[in-house]
Amino acid sequence: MMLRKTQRTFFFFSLLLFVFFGELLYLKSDIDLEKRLALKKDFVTLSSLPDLAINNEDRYLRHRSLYGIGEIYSIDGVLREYNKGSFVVNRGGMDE
Amino acid sequence: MSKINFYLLEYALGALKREKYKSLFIVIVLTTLSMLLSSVFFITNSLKYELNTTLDTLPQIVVQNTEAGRVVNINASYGEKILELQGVENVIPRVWGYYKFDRAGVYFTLVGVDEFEENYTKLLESINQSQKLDSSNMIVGEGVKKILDQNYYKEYFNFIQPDGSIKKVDIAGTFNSATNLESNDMIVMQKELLREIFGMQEGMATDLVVKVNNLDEVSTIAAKIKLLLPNAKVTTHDDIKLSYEHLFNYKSGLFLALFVIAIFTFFIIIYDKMSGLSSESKREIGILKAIGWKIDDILKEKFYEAMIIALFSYFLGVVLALFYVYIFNAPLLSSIFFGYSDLKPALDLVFVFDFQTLFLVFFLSVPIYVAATIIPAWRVSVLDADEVMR
Repeated sequence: MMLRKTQRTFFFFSLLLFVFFGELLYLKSDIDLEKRLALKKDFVTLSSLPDLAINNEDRYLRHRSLYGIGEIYSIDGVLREYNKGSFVVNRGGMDE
Repeated sequence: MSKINFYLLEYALGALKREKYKSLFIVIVLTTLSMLLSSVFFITNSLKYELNTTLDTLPQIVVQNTEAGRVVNINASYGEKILELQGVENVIPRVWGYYKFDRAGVYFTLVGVDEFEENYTKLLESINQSQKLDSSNMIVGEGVKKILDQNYYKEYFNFIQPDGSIKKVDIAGTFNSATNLESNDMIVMQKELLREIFGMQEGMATDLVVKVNNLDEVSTIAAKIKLLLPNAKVTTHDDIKLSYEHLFNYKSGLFLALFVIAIFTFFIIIYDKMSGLSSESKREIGILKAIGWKIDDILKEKFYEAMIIALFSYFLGVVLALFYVYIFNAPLLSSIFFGYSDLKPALDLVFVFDFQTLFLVFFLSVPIYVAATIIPAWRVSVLDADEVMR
């Protein structure tokens, strides 16, 4: 037999679990997800640059195909970049 | 299996109610901990998922030219040499690079496309309008559009070329906002136009992308390219994947360092709890023993108390984290993953449900708290009732 406080606690926990699973179901039922992912894939296929536009101070992030190549710039005081990720790519003639 | 003793449970709830401020404080600390930890894992998992999904569409090998350890443009004719290698499906010279818009202090990523390339038509599906790219216009990401608008470049933009002259390029449209995490700082235009802006010679490319028929041959072909072009930096699909792991471990590691401070505070509370019960709690156990409660009953009651608090905080933390990350798009916390540039995209994360994350957060919070409640109670409850109360 459940007592008063226990009943209330069970009700409270059930409510919390209901919100938890409801939230999961709601987030799972994103009908546009496939479409959005397809768009993202199309874009990356087109540009062939994969990395997310989330970072501008880390040289490894954008773009990954240049991973490691910017290491020397961290010790190059000549560069007037405002952050680490903004290393310069020598485009033939620029550094002559 | 013994059933739940509802009388003990009722008693445990009463005990929690008696110390309601203390219980509330512990609930707040535990909830915050599980929420913070879950949020970071949710963000990391979603970004990883998004990267790994788009990674499949990438070319298998990227070939860059280096001179004295620095990346320089590559002669597109090297592509023909690479094409002669067995197993290579095609080689596409890419033209892309960064353009610093000094006025706003941001970098744009400029990408050149060729209308004869296979993917060109897909571009039209990704953008919001139907105008085609021609030799005098470009399509920009939403972040770029915003920055240009702020600087009164509403319909066109003036690129400054290496020789100091100005190249005016019209804005044909923006990319679909669904691709924002990828396209936010990007500008796409025709290759010829981009070459002009970068002052790049005809026949030169930024790098070459190589498509391989058989995925098992990627590493062999990469090694052959390296032999063919000793100066080249050859990056394979797997290298990129590895560096993603690297990055996210670093970023979530950064957060975990902050989390360590929070968990340290939590452990101090736990230590305080474990180092001994308050005289009131001791007296309570003493009285319970004196009226006939067994050690087993006392421990069970303490277990119920701890489980109610820990489970409640855990579920509340996870529910709040889901809201915070996927519905409110993680304000503040997303800055750990984003840089401090003005070109920040809106965080629109793909929902990924990962049981491992939930288990990890569970084991980091619930059992620790339960143990910290039961152990001191056990220490006291094994003593004689009169000794405890004295």
